[in-house]
Amino acid sequence: MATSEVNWEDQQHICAFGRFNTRLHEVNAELRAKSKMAEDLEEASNELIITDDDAVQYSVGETFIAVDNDTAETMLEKAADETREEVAKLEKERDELKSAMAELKTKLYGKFGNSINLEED
Amino acid sequence: MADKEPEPALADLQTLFNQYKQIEASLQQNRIRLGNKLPDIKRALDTVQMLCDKRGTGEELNMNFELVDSVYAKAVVKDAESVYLWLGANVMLEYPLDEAKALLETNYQNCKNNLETNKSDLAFVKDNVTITEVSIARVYNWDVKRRKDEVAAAKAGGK
Repeated sequence: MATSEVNWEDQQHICAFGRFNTRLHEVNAELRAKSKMAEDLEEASNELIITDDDAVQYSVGETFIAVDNDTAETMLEKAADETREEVAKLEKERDELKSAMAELKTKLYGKFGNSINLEED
Repeated sequence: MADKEPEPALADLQTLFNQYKQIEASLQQNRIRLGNKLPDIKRALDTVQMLCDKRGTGEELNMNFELVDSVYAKAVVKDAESVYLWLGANVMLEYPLDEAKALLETNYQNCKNNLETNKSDLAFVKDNVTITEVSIARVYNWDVKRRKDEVAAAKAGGK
């Protein structure tokens, strides 16, 4: 097995790869939570449309507040918009991380071949 | 690390590696704690913000609030002027709405900043962990190669 020297540049690439990987896991976890939140809000909006009641309980912080349907709708919309924005931001970061990692992978595998393993177990 | 036999060098690196790992674990714990605090502050902030919005409108707010776990009680809130914030250490303090909002906003921002600092600290430690890992692998590989060369040299010399 021919072992290549690891120079400082390679070391930095390996470090960056490790960092990106950790961040990717974080982003994925956040993304799951936020997507669920977005779905829930969506569902709540739909429920709001079909409900006959005109005084729903809207959850604010740790309390529920009785609001009329129109107010609830605007509040829901605002929350949904915010969540969607966050989801979009996270998705963008995820894609950036993925492409950066793919680039590092080709570089490092190109140099070290089988002597390096960059896959998840 | 220069001029050392492979074994002690490896042992040194291993100690270093364990130390870095320990720092990493404590930073990670901190991160989780901060991450849990952030939504808590946000919830409090949302509530205060809502009370601020309703202030002066003379509107009554019909609230259901959590009395104890899973038990909710009704309350009518009208023109609330102040809230009580739990400061920790069994202390609760009354704040006018605006001050409460300012305080919570500062806390929120601080918590976010701490998370940012924690993130860069963690990245730094993580880099060092990786560097140490690579160093261990390199010393190990070098040692294996050296032994092989020695054996080969001995064979060649024996013939």
